[in-house]
Amino acid sequence: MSFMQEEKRPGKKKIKTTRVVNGLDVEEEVWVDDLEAPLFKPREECRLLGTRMKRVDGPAKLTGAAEYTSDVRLEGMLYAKVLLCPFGRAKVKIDAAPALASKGCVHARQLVDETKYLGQPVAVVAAATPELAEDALRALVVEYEPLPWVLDRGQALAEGAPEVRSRGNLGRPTEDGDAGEVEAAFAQCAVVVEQEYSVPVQHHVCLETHGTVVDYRGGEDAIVYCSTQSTHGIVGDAAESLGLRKAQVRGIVQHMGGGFGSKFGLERAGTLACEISREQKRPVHLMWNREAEFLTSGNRTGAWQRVKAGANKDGRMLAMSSDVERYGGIGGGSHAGLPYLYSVEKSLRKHASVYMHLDTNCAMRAPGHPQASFAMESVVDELAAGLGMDAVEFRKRNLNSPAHLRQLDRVAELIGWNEHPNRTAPGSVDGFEAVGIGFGCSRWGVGGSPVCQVDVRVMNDGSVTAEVGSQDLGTGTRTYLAAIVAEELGRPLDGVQARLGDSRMGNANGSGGSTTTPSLAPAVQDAARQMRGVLSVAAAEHFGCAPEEVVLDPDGARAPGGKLTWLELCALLPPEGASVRGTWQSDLAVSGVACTQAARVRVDLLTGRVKVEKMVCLQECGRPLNRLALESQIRGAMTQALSYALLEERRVDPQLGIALSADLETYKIAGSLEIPEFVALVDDDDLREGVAGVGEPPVIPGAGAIANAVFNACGVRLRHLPLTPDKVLNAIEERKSS
Amino acid sequence: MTTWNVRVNGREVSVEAPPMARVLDVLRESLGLTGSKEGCGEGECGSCTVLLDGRPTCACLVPIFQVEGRELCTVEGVAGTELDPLQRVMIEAGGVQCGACTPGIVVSLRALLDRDPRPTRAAVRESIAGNLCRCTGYERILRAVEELVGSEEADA
Amino acid sequence: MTVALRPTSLSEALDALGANGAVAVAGCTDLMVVDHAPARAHATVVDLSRLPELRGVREDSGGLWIGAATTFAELRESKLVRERFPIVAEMAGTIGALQIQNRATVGGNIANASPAGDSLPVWMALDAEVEIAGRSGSRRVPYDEMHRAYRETALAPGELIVGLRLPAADEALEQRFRKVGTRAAQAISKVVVALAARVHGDELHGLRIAAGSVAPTPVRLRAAEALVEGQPLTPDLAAAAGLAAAREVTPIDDVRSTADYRRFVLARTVRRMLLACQGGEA
Repeated sequence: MSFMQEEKRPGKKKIKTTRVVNGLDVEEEVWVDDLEAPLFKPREECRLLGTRMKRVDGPAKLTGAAEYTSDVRLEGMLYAKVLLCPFGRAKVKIDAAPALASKGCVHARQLVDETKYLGQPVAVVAAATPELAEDALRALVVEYEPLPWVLDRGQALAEGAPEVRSRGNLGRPTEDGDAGEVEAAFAQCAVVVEQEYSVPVQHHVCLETHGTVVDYRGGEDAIVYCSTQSTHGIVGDAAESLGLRKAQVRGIVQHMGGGFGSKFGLERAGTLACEISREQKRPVHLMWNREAEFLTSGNRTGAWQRVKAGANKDGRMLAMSSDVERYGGIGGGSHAGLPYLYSVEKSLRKHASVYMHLDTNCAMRAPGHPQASFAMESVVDELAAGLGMDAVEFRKRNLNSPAHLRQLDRVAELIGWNEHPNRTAPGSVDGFEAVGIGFGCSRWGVGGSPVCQVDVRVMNDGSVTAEVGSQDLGTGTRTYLAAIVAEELGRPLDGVQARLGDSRMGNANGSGGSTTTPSLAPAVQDAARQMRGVLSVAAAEHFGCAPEEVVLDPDGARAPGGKLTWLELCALLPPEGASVRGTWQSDLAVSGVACTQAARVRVDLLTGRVKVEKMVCLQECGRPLNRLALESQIRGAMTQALSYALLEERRVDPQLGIALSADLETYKIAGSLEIPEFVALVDDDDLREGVAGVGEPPVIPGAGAIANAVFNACGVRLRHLPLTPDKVLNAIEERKSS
Repeated sequence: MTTWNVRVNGREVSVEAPPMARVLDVLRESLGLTGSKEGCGEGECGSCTVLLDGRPTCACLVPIFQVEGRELCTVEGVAGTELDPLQRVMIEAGGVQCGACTPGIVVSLRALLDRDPRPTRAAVRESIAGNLCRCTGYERILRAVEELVGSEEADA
Repeated sequence: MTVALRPTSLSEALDALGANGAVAVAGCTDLMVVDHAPARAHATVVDLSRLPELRGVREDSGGLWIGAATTFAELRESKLVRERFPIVAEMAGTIGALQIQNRATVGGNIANASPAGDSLPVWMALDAEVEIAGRSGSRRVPYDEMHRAYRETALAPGELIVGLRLPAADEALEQRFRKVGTRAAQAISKVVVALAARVHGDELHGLRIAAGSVAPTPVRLRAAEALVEGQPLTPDLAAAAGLAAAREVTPIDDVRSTADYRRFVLARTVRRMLLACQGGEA
């Protein structure tokens, strides 16, 4: 290193200090943390961040003390319930008088004259207890006049089909790419695959359903408890439904039982609860039941994907064309687009929505991505197989990011690919069972939003709070809110009280797109470092040294001039304590995280049952804050992907116009007996200083990896999720007879 | 309305309810014990699991008249003043995220451990096969029990 | 409001069931599902779960008597059941999950008469006899005659199931049970098969095979049985019996599976179970 060059260390600065050496004052330069620069401490200096921390709300959740929206009980509270239309579409006529006359019922009304989709709420009642509300629902006199509906693609696109939207049931396609160039590129290919891949509509299945409790008794103030992903986001809609101003409404979200993208706003349950509360001037409790959760709270878009792709003999993908139909019910659906993650020299794509009389799609954990990933990972695998090429090697030739290249090697090693016999050709359908391995990759944008305002306060009795009006969906927000502050101030984790889930606290964005952590954590760190500055200045005045020379650690504060316990240090603060507000710091948020997964499956060749035995995931996340929470997110995402691959599918009977899977008996999700051995790893080769959220990326590639593993096991390619035993067995029999 | 006498978490309680009222509603509405959650109302998700005379049962499927004179234990009754060791390891191992399924899982596991202090992994898996979790992927729940009983046995 | 009765003896129970609109309940796992308001709409529910006459598992002239109010958990735990009729214990472990096994009863599963009821083919294969009581007296019905049509049993109005008698099982009695479901737990069957036979050398005698979820009621697979009965059991014969089984059932497409898949898997399951009786592929 040239002596002319000034050394730079991120987050650090050099100061001159005087030290006594052998009785002599010696002036020297030392590196100290730059209190003005809100960076995290270097990883190796952290006591808490990057370790496996116990969640701070664990005891409340384990003992049943944690209060969820559905648990809020208020004096004089009414219970509201809705009636769902059992038909694809219908005209509705309801006589609410008998319900209103039933015991304890104070509110009953029709909501729509004509429904737009299967399961739409048509009436709402409110009564003194849940049972009386149920009796009131039953007392409604309802006449349905079924109207023609379209519940599947065939019905939607049939000539003369009833229109879901005024411009027809086939949305205007969007296209991009140059057909001529793609055609020419196909001509250069040594192998071309042309196939169709489909994914069903998937439900979120949050264990806590959607719902709201409104505490309004007339007057000027209301508190709205809501199972939502956006504490601040519900206030405006609630104020409007209550006829109040935004400043008069307080949103509270202490604990919530999962959202996965379906709970961004106040939602229908919330607006109904507010309307009834406004009319009755009484608190109202309205939680969806499980059926409503399935039929009218959003879902993941289904898709049909016709794909043609080609590669040259070296395994480079040269051409791809795709034609995608999105099935988002009355909504437009979402699809991330092909060739998704992979680099293909020339590609052409066309997307269109097909509208049906079904509940609209909404955001769900990486909206649009698992659909595209399933098709893309399948096509990639088919091309590799067509060339007789190792599936890992083929992927590496078509992925650009160095992260994916190194992850593929590591994941291949962890799943046992290098010792696996079927690396270049699949196994056979002979015998009782077959074992195979498959791969998938994903990438997610993350990136932070600059809106968070975090308040950290230290009182002169030593108590510390960190608060922000964000929310903890169960992912561990509360824990890192406390941990970042504790890390910076040298406190134990339980020495900082984290408060969130209250719209009276500092602003925060809704939790979506895995952006909570990269939006919030930088603002927390900013506040924490500011507070450290305040405490360091107080200590420095006491010791007569520079603030940077003060070290905060679990014992309190020390500096060249001496030591203070934490309580002594805080006693130096004025009676009202000290408070600071932190804001977002772009340096501390990363964008773009790579993920690679592998699955090993065992296929029962006699029944077609697929058992996933092992799943490996390597996930970038920038700087890990809490490994326990990160690994749990990754395992949970893999489980949802497994469930999507093998079990989940919304089903309706298009002829009868009824729902077939609106409960947990007919819509199965993975249980404890389905889960494989998991290897869930944070990618520690990602050395970026900023943080990222990982809610979405690990849910993306799993289904493709599992389907590829089934092919690898026994040579049958399943192109339509879920991989139910009947489809697998049919494919096995076809291969046997061919 | 009829008065029912039930022992709940070690305490004798008398509660008024119609005979077919669900035990889940009685616990949540009349007794204020909201730890047991309603996830499905049809015995599929296990979020409302309570012990009825020591056996895990879905409180949504039991009418109150059938528990007259019997004993119920809910998640609130698993711990005394301190956390139960099972609750402690669930936190340490990371067996909880959103927490909506957690009370039912704690009750199911407590019942397992009361019957079998050293269960195999297969037995632990089976004991929560009637409890759905959408967040964690279950693995850490199994691990928590293994840490508690000191076994590190892989799946049979 | 519903009147809930908890009779303490069989005769009290029968009197109570004689009333208009009275319905018998025990574990309530079917009755209470989803929207329990209809449950409250019954005029009278009569709880059979604690009737002494309906409880217990005991020896009965070499065989077993199983009370109708026995829960599936109690079946799994019963030493007598596990020793004499291991497939009964095995079947009990596949009913719902533990929360359901702790409540659901033997009699309830029979009376509910779902074509997918997992216990029903087992009783059929084991040649059980159902003990039925009514106000005019009691009678016994061979299990083969218990299920008459879709969700219709041999029970007359006002009657109830007291228990089941299983004929003696000796060492030579081979018993097999297999359930193919959507998921490993809490899954209603796609196909469920039970088999019992006595092994004499390479032959099976007194073969009884029964299946569920493949017809409107649980059914004996008589064509398959006839092929195999008393014949040297070869892999070819087992395969032929499987195909015969698939031909004699009338499964449907439903939300859990397809008719084709059920036939296919039934054929293979029967073949495998037969071969397993001789220590073949399991």
